[in-house]
Amino acid sequence: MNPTNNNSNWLSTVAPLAVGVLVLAGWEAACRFGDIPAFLLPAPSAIARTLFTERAALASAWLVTVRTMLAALAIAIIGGVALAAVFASSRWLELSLFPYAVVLQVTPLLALAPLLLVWIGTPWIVTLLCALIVAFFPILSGTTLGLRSSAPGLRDLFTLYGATRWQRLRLLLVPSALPYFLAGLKVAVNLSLVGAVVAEFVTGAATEAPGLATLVFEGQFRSDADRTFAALALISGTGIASYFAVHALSRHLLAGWHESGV
Amino acid sequence: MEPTGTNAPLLALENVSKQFASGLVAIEDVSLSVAPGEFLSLLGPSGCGKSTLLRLIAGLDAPTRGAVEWPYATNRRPPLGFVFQEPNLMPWATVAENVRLPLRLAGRHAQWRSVVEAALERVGLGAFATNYPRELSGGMKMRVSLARAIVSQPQLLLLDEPFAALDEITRTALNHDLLTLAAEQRWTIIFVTHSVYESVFLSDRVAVMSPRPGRIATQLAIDLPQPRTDTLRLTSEYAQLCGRVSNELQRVMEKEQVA
Repeated sequence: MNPTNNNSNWLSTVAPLAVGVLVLAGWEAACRFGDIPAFLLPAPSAIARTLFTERAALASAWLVTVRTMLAALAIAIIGGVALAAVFASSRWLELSLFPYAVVLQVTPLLALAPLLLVWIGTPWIVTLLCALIVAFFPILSGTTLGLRSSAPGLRDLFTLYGATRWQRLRLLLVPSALPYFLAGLKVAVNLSLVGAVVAEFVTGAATEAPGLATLVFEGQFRSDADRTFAALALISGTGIASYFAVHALSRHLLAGWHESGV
Repeated sequence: MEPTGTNAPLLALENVSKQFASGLVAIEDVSLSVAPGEFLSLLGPSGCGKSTLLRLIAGLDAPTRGAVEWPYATNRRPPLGFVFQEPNLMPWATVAENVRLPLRLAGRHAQWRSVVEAALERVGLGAFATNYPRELSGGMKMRVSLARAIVSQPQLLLLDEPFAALDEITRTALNHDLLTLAAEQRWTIIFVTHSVYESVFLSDRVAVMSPRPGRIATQLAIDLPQPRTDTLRLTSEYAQLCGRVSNELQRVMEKEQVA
């Protein structure tokens, strides 16, 4: 590893951390010495205290949201990859179905969720569906593009050496599509969290098992800013953690050969 | 029924034409035969259908008219190797895995490691088995591509301007390796190039092609002694042959301009 690279690695960890610490310190100081009412903006220390004292309620809400997010992501991956494979094997099906996938993607979730609640009724299915709708498209479009982007020269080579369909899929199409799939996954993982949170806002009143967004909603309603901010902190923390998890997975899978992985 | 036996050509093209869906006639009425063990160069300006002809021979495209026949192998396509303009390596696989590909696709899993190692050794890349293609230079990638052709044990090797993107020094070295390998492995070779000097140095026969539509304008036997060495480049026979081939190419180009 060359020194510049090392340097930038070091910088990419320390610089954002330093900014975070500075912002938190400024925020804390503003709350303590400034004249900011706690119901508008609680101090970071107060949020941290709430995270600890209300850990039972927060943890169960976190589990609800994360479960929705992961279930939606899993279904989006399986369904998105399967549909992309269908598209890749039939241009005809792709042309007739892809526009509808786009329609689903561009329809604002916030407009769709209340309708779904009316139609379906069961809140957990609605939240799952909302998270799924937004997570599905990036996986589908990324993988569809990826399956089409194998190098023509390599395709000829596989034909020349008499590759079977299965060999072509496993040894050529899957590895070529992998970077595109992972790029889609990076977007999808955070969209599934956004989808789950948005849906919880809509279904909040109806649900028995509250998620993190339900807590934000409740806290706002009762002017319990500490609780609102604690739930918000958990939402962002989960988003950041899942982003980095996918990032690490991507680096691991593409290590050595893809420009993004070296 | 085609004649079968030692005198039969390995490959026979009979009045082969290729018209693309766009209407472009890439190849018109090409007849050509290649004897087992022969080194044939297809020489011509760009757009003369050299690469298309090679793809027809490899079975990657089908001719619109005419037939591609294999009399020597009782009309079954013999094992082919193809070295493309680009090295065409799988970026996600190590050098060894890339070289192994033909074995893998043929379902030959026994002792692949020793076969791959021997092939890499043969092209001077024994130490690079576990490297990824992106870590190699252009010339080294072409060598990997050659090693991959070696393990497939082709009877006929097709090369489509394989070293055109490389520098002169690397190119000369690779041409030498190719000649040695061809003799060693008893390959029959069809080599597409646009370099007069390269075609004369390497071949037993040069077929000069004319463009739009692609035809074979003329064929010249290159009766220079084997093996071909660097000193050959200094002989007057070599210079004369280069001159003759060059003149033929010139004629083809002039006709093109008049038309």
